[in-house]
Amino acid sequence: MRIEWMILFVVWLITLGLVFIIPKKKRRIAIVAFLFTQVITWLLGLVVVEYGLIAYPVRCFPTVNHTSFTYEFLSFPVLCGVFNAYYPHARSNMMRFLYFASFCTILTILEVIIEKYTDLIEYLHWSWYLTWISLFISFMLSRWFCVWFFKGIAKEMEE
Amino acid sequence: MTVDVLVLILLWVIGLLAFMLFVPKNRRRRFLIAFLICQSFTWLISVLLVYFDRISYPIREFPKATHLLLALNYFFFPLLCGFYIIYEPKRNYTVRLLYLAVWDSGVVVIIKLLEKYTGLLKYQHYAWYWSWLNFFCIFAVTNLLYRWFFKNKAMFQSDKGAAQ
Repeated sequence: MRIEWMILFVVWLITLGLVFIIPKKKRRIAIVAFLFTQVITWLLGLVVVEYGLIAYPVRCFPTVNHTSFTYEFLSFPVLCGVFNAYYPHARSNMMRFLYFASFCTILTILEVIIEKYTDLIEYLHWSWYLTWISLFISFMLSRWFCVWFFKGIAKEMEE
Repeated sequence: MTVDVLVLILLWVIGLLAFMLFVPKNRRRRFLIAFLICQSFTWLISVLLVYFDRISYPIREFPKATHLLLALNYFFFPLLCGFYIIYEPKRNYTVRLLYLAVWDSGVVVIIKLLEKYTGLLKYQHYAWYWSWLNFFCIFAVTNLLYRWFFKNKAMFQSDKGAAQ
């Protein structure tokens, strides 16, 4: 088995494992974040491939998708769920920024390593800092959506 | 070709207009949850259907990046599911099942019209009753998950604080 498929397999396992670290009380927030993130990743994933910025030589469903189904359908949305479930909303702005930055940095480092040593992802016209920034924006959008959603939903349900 | 592009644009315009006109303000969030749950399913299932050569989408928005049609799978089907759920009558199971069957048939009619009169969608090894069954399951499962999500109203009061 090629190293790429082993990595994909491990990523699936880790992602499914991550589901279990979400506290029961935060399940709904994680679900909303997961679902909303898919809206972003589905579209942006296609845009970067369509315009030749990134390529994914080894991927699931290669004849259907030229994007990374694993990352966009499952891994990143689940991570975004975890991100929102553990979000330190009561902490200072500095702490919250550090929370954002550490998620983005760890993911970017992992991606750069994978880019360098495997065929799972190739940067064509792309750089690590674009990954970092797009992750930051995605996390921020998911955060905004969760806050908007849960601020209004209790009132909406009273009717 | 031009007719197909026009239909694509119409799908988006009609969808957005329908969202703005027919989703009451106090149901917007619930509509979106139904939309998002359904979208996750249409993504997964449409990938499988194309992968196993059941359906193809000859004309699509991102021809190089994917073989799926976004206007339908990303937007229009989830949107229909959202409407189905927020307007579901609060009656017994028979009425709700009939209601689902009517919506589902509407979806299939739209698909068949697109298949017949445009080049957006082609059945390969597929038939309308498979589409019917497919959307019956997607809508029903979305509905179940949606009910589970909103089951415990007290939870949302506590979530409100946590989300800020």
